[in-house]
Amino acid sequence: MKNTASTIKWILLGVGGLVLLAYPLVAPNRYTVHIVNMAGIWILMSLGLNLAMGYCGQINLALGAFWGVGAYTAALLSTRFGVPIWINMPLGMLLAGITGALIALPMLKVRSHYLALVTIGLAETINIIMVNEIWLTEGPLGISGIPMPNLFGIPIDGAERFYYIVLVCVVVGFLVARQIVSHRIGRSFIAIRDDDTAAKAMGVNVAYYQVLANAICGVYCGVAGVLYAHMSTYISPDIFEFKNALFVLTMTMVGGMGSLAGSVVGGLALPLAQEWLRAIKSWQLVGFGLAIMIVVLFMPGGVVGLTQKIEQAGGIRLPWARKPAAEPSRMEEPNVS
Amino acid sequence: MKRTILFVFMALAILLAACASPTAAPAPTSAPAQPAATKAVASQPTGEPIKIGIIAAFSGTNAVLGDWMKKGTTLAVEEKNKAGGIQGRQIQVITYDDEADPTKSVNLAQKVATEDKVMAVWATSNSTSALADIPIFAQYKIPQFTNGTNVDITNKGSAYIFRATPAGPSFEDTLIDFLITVKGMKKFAIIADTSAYGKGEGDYQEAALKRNNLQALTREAFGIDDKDFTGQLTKILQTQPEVLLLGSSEVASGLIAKQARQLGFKGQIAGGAAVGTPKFIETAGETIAEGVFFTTPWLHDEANEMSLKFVNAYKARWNETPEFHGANTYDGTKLLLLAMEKANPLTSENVAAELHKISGHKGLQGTFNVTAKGETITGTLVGIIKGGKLTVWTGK
Amino acid sequence: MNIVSIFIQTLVGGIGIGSLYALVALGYSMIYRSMGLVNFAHGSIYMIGTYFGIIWYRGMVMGLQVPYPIAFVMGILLTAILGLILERIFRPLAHLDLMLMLLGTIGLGYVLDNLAVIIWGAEGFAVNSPLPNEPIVIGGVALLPQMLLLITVSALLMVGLNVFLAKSKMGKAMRAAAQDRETASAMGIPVNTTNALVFAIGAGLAAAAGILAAPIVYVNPAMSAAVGLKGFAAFILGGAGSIPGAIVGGLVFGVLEAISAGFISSAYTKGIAFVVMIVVLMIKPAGIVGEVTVDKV
Repeated sequence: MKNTASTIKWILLGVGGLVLLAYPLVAPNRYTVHIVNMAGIWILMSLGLNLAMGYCGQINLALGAFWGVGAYTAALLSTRFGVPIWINMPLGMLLAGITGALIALPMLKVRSHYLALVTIGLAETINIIMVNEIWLTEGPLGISGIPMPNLFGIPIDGAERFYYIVLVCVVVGFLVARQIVSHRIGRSFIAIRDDDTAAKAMGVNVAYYQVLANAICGVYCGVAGVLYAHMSTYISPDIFEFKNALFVLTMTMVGGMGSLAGSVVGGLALPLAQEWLRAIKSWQLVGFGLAIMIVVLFMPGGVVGLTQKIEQAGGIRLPWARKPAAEPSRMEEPNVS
Repeated sequence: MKRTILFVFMALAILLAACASPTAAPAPTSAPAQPAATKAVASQPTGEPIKIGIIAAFSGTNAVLGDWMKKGTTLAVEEKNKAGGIQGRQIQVITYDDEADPTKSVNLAQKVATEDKVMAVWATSNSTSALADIPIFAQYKIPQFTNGTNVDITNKGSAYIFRATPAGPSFEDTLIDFLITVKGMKKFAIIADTSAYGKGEGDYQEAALKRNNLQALTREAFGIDDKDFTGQLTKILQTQPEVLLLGSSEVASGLIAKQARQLGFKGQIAGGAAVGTPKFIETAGETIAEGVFFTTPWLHDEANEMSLKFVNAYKARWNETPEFHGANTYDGTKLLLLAMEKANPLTSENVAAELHKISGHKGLQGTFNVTAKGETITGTLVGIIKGGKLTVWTGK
Repeated sequence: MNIVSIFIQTLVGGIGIGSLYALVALGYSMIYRSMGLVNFAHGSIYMIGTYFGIIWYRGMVMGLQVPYPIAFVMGILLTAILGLILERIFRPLAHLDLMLMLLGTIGLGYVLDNLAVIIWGAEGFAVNSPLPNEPIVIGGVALLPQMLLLITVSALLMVGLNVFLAKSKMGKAMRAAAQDRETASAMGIPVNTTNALVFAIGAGLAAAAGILAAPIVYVNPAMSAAVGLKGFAAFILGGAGSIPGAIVGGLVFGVLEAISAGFISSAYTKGIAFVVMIVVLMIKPAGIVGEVTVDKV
């Protein structure tokens, strides 16, 4: 019995892997590949947010700023000094990580909705710097002509080839996140999220892990930023505004906060849904808002949380079932008459 | 933990499969006269409609710009379709809303280029979105029209970008030369927002002053969401300028003009294209807008037969009076249709090549001579607001 | 103009826009202290409220044009009714984790904003001032009648709200319910009804702010974002849940913006306001006046 189950698992894994590898070859056109690439970038940011917020409980609405720091690092280095992507990538990760750590500093003092506002304020301030410090950032008009990468002599000049770069980043990002979560760091994150006073009593260095969680979030967004800059070849400050941070937050919550798989599901589903629903125009956004409310009210664990509920209710185990874990902590059960 | 990976893989595979399915393509909104492309039509390639894409903001603060772009283009296309189309083929307009967000604009640029396979595209009136789209249309060799005025748009080395209206400096040069030489004014103050458009306007104003060996007394900035300008204006009024130059959207310009007068500013108010719009007059109020100078590439002129014909057709089709955005998209689409007629065979690359050959073409905004960079026209005219109406300055 | 009147002039502008923020912040605060709900859709309620009043003033409903004061009252009442309906939708949200609350209310904001676009169009319109446009000049300082109206009515509403909460039976019930829901329930106070009323008052205040400011600013569906965020900033800066906190927060934020625009750097106006706010929160993590503790559930 065990063997069959494991065989099925491997077959599914193999088929899934094959689909992932072959996707650009079977995609109907470059637009659909581009949308999937873009989804990969969203997934990376969502993974970062999930680690900081879903696992460590740190409210962070400054994602746009981290993303922007990564993108601007790549854009400036490549357009001004001709630095290639494989050097920009670690530098972008480093600078975005530092930004993440700096934004974490207020978190040591400020909490909850105060913190939400502080992170919004910091992100807005960084955006204003992007707009006004023209000597550095070239101002509101942004930076054009960022080169598409060239790896080992192969020009990555189209969405199909870029897809594989994004795929590698997402897979590596996902596996690293999984390691972090199963590691002592991850356990400390969860301890802090569930009860930071208790965590402190247990000897967890709460401040250190809070900063670390946000630095990691920054690094993930930095990767996304470097990828975005080299993929679209153009960036401007309005890309990194608050609304896109909100979009990442939404996809993470729809997928499942506190579940890495949720980031992947949400990061793929929302951007794709947005493209498909374009036909209904204004009503699209109304529907989008309603969908968010339905998710929040009826499936606060997101899509991943829902599959767990189905399992529990039916007493079944879906093939991909996992140990019940983090559902966003509810303060109280709704039981008011 | 393996199971997590499995779950992710399944999800990915399902979503990608869904994404690859052709049903993902939604029916585009088209010019009402045109039915959407059907299978039957597709079987006979010569009868297949030629597609022109419009990517613009149809929601949010700049929604009205997208709306004007659609109206001007659709009008020109419908006239052409009535006259038999191009090489026996009808032309279809497809519009998409990019919400003035460059990331969405890039998605849509990929969509119109590879899924809809458009012949040409309008993208967009928002400078940052237009810039974001340039590399994509250059790659697919699709002519891209914009009515954004930022001078940098045509400086990116693309042979496929065309600006259907004069570039920003053309507006501000005309206005400031007029204020200095005709009106004899010397003391200027600038207030411009920090968006790509506003900053561009402010920069061109400063450059035009510098060319005249003058310098602005002060230049103040504000964010596009701001509604109260007391701080900036109080500071500006201390420098006692003769002219207050505005560099922002229609609404913000109108609010600033109003607040400047209320704070006791008695001098001249002037600004670029955004000031020469009914929206500016509406926002500032007729009394305050009275006597404000602006510069525009086009104003309705009863004596001009072409202008009269356009205004009547536009009114009949859309039930509103056109302003210069409607006129410049109409002009640009006319250029495009002209090039499409000449292109042989009809491919988007040939259309771009034919566009570059156009010279001496008469349009609403004047005579079009397309340059290698993709500029099509220079020169604007000075106007003054009188009795709540935009009128051409005729010299007192 | 001497430096004193320049300063006062800048200050007046800041107080005007600050009163607008304060009224919006009051809505946030009222709802927060009674339900524990941080309502990120409040900016959208402010926008809808503005439309609800101005459509009557501009004769947009069946050509029925009513005088400004009546439109003002009608707008407030309609928005308060909308508040009653929204409270029912929001009620389950109030017991959730902050992030779910944030997302749920943002989702509702999306719905309201885009419904407004569908109903009234995205373009928006300018609103004529019911008062003369000529400013009153005192000692070199220009005071716009509509701005004075905004400041005065805001002040009256704030005082009225304080009196209502302190003196009236209903207000006392609201305060009791906000402080200890279970005890209040046990004492026979219908907690859900008082919450619904609080929500209605919060929505009505936002509408009042919007209708008063409409002739100064410009009305379109996109107006919800900027004021929503700044009202939220004011609500936090003063101290969440605190009524005087919301007023102080709003005025401080408005004045900060005006002063930095006039005297420091106009390009960095918003940035300076935010940085000062962050510094204040670092020193006083519960806001200037301090948070009013909320008893959830």
